[in-house]
Amino acid sequence: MPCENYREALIEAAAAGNAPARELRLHRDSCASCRASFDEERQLFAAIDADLRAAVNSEMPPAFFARVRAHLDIAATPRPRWMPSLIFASAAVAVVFLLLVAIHALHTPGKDLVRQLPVALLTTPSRETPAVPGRQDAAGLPARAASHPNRVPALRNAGALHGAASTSIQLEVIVPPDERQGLTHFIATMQEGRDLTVAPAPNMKDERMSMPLLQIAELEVQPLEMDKSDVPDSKKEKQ
Amino acid sequence: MQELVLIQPSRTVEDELAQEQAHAALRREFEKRLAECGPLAFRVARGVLRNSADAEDVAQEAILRAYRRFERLRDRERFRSWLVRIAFRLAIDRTRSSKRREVRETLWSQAAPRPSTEDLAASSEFQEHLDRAMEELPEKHRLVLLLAAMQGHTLEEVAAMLGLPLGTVKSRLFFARKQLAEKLRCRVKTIEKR
Ligand SMILES: [Zn+2]
Repeated sequence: MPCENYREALIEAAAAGNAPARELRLHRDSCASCRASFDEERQLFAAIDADLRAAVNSEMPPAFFARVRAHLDIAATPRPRWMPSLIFASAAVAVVFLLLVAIHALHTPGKDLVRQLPVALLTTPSRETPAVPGRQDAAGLPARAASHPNRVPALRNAGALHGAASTSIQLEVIVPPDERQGLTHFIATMQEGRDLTVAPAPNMKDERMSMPLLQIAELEVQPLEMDKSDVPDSKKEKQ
Repeated sequence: MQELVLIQPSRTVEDELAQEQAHAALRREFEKRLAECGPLAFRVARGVLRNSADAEDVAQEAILRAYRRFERLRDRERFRSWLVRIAFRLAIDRTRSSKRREVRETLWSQAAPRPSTEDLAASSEFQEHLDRAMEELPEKHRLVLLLAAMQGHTLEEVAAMLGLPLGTVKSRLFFARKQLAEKLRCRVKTIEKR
């Protein structure tokens, strides 16, 4: 058997950490080259083993368990009972704050907020509130809500949707574009069994930017004109 | 929840007490396992990371994870096996973080070369080569190699810990050592010639 084969077998014996077989031992003892190769190999494995042993058997840091226990204590600490209430209260405060901000934004002239939001219109048939006579939009919808100029565009869209709906209360809901469909669906679900109809907002992508600003004109208080018929009762009695 | 409190307040308190007692018992049991297996987690991590501070971080993380799922890991063998594997996995993940690697390589390059190469294992250069060779090993071979190098662990125990037949452990160990030697042979010769 050539030296190459012996060497391979000797290396394998060293890798396995076993003593070489008798035939290998005999060759190793008689062949200087194979002996040198085997010794080198053994030295290499000894170095690997020494390094690995040093790495895995090194001393544990003295405070290891104390630190682990401290971490465990933190992990095991139950949440205080008031924690869920606190979270709920915080959420409620946040919602109220956001509502106030939204209301403030809607009532501040010059803000583009309203302009950016498409308006969905919900119609609920009712005979209690009469429409403003003489004011109708292009589709013939009574324009009760249109007495406020800023509501006209929304109303026109609604008019196009509702066509000949004759008597109705106009409920305007401002909805962000990505929530419009969801809200419509939600309301539809809620209204099952009720005498209500829901109209999804039309796609207003193009019209969004052309919507007029929501502006509230300053309130002008003019002096009251006294009518003759407004004479106090005491004077009437004297007459 | 609140209705329950109003109707039967005493029962809720009892429930809470029972729950607290159960938690305390679980914690005691965990502490026992921790005393047995905590060092193992640290050593496996230390074997991969070659750094005690990092190994402690990793071992702690592994132990915390074990604690969170201790109810499913109450069996001693199962716990030990799980902890070893998770510590090994976390340590490997940490080694792979490129930032850590950079720091380590800087440290290696800054380490003063030892004048004597008689003790190869003590040479930082050899350690660096061994480190790299270890990283190139298949993970299942690497884990067996580390566990087999631990004091007080026979190959039979390693096999039991990993839930493997003894023959599989032996063959993994053999191939791991052979592969390491092949990778290191040329490098070590270079070091010796200097
Ligand atoms: Zn020979």
